[in-house]
Amino acid sequence: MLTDDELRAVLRAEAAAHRPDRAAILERATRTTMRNEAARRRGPRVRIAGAAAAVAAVIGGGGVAQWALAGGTGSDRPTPPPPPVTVSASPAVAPSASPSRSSPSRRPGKPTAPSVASAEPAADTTAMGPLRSGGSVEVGGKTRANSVVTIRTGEALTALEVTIRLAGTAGLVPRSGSQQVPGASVDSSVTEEAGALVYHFTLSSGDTLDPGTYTFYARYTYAPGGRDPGADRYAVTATSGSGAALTVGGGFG
Amino acid sequence: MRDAAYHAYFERHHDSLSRLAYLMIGDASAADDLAADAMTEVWRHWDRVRAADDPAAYGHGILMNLARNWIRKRSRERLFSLEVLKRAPEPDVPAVLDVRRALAELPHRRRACVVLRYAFDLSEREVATTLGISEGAVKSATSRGAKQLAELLGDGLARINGWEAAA
Repeated sequence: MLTDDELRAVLRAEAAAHRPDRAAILERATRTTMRNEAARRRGPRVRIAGAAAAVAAVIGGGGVAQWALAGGTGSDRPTPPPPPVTVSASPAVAPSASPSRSSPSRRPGKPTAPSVASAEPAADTTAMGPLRSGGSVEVGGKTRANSVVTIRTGEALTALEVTIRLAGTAGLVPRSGSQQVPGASVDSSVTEEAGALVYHFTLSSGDTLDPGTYTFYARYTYAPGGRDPGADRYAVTATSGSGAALTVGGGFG
Repeated sequence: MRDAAYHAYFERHHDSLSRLAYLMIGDASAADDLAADAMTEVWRHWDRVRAADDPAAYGHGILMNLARNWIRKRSRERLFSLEVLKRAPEPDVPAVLDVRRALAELPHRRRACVVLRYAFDLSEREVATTLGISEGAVKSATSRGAKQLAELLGDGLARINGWEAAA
């Protein structure tokens, strides 16, 4: 006969022995949600589309995810909408000559928060060391779009902050930010600063991003008639696994 | 906002949902399936989940129902398969290591209470909310379940180590 403490230890060990497969759980949840959506065409589509988008935002990549994000919530379309109009997609592919240009004078610790973002992103450097970035706009309807920042890192990152700053234009209203950052925890927030909308994405301290491609979405609606993204900017500050401070930034076309 | 909240819920609870399922049904890959199905249900009832006093308990409660249905379905299927033979007791198996088999011998409610109280450290009140039963029922099912499990595991331990069972 085991004591209560022994029983507790045995059961905890058994629970700890199981390794949940996060990707498999997400995949199945997404698939089921999409199937549900197809099954109830006439049902509360808005909610389901929202679920798909939420799940897709977590799972990252894939045609389903693209559809869900482009479709957004509130779409009346029963079938996947046409592919999003990509105004400018330039995840700078050309490898930079010097693999590492870290400046030791800019010691990170924590990414220097809004000051970096609100300052002019110096000369819009889209690539630095192992980090590449690109900005694009996905138009999801007449008055809705996502400004998308895609980053690719060849090294692990121990700190990351992405800021998307949208210039105030007619009828601009935020719809929350989302991101595709599998395997890590990212906090997002939207604030209004001096007439601009500022979306912040911050990697939780203690989390590490593996080398790979990650996507951040600033979602919003605007007045009918289109919106000029010319004055929008993004800024990315990161710390590589080797301790180098990396800063990149740019526009959205 | 709902997207972000659901996202956060997923990140926070998918792991514990899967571990809970694993202890309840003893099958690792089906446990992930049940966790995914629970998350799908959480979304379908998102308004209620969010309005609930204890949103985590709501998800765990959904999972417990899915686990019970899974086991029922599985045992119906077993009646018509040979698997029941393979599952016959094997005297030389170190029973103390087979926590899952011991858990499987408990009735659903006892197993649910023991797992939530002992492995997940929930309070009696939280378990009551999760399972939709009274705290008194939780108390008695937990105590019976823990005793039964301790005996099952204790017997195995005694057999293996050749201990004398204390009178």
